[in-house]
Amino acid sequence: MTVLEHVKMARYSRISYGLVGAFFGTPKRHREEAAIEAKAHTLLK
Amino acid sequence: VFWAAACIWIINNFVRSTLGKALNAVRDNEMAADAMTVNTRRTKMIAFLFGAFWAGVAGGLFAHVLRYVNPGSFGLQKLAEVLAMVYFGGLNSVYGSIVGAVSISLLGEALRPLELFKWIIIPLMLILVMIFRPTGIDRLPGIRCPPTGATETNPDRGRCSMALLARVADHMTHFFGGLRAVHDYNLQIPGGGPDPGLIGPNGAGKTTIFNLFTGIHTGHRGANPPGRAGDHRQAAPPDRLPGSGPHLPEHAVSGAT
Repeated sequence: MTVLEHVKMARYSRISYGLVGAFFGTPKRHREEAAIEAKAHTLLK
Repeated sequence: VFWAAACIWIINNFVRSTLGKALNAVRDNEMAADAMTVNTRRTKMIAFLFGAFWAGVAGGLFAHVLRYVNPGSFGLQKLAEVLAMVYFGGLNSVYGSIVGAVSISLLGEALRPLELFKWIIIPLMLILVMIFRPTGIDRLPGIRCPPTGATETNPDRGRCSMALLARVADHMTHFFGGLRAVHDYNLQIPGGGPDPGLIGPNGAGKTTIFNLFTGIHTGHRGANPPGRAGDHRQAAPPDRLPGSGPHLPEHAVSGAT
């Protein structure tokens, strides 16, 4: 796992999309993943 | 073909999500994953059920094609064949599994005239792959580091990330209350240089340095305590210090280096 993925993992308990979102890539999942990634990049900077 | 495409698409979606990455985290270090708020029991249950579901689908299709199911069809040889596909293509890689399955299947057909001897050649090739390419044939050398595009000849992603992190260590200082854990730490590593290591006795501040690298601790730049000359950033507020205040996901820290 990369450092970015480790930092993203810290948001695990805040994820609200479920397994259906993870399996089928729902818009809600994409929105949340984008927000998590942006937050992780901010923390790393 | 429909089921194969659906399987690849769903698995690819899953492993790219944070929920899917939790599987990697639990596999690498369950205790560390737990500290990062990952529900390890749920994650292991999902992995088991997810694998069982696709195994069930594959078994159903297998029976549909052969119109006959016998426990003898799923013996040790089949198990070894499936494991060989995974190892040959590459562990922890969806596309590696596809490459492995296609390669082993084609190899099996090509070596069919050799009859039983093919079961000597295929394991031999598998052993060679495990010796010379432990991560599978899918992982080729020369991966690119996403943040800068720098090339790292070593396929180990961790090393690549460490080199990138080390370049940002610029006169970092960190205080835990009145205790100075890291003092004016500066590290520059040129691109393509040797892999850095961090050695020191207990309490030297190694873990704090890693937590500063990853942004878990805010720290500040300069040698002086926060608020004095040379301080460019605010130190972490007291409620973010370990052991004080509620333990929230964003407060999770690396406990050991």
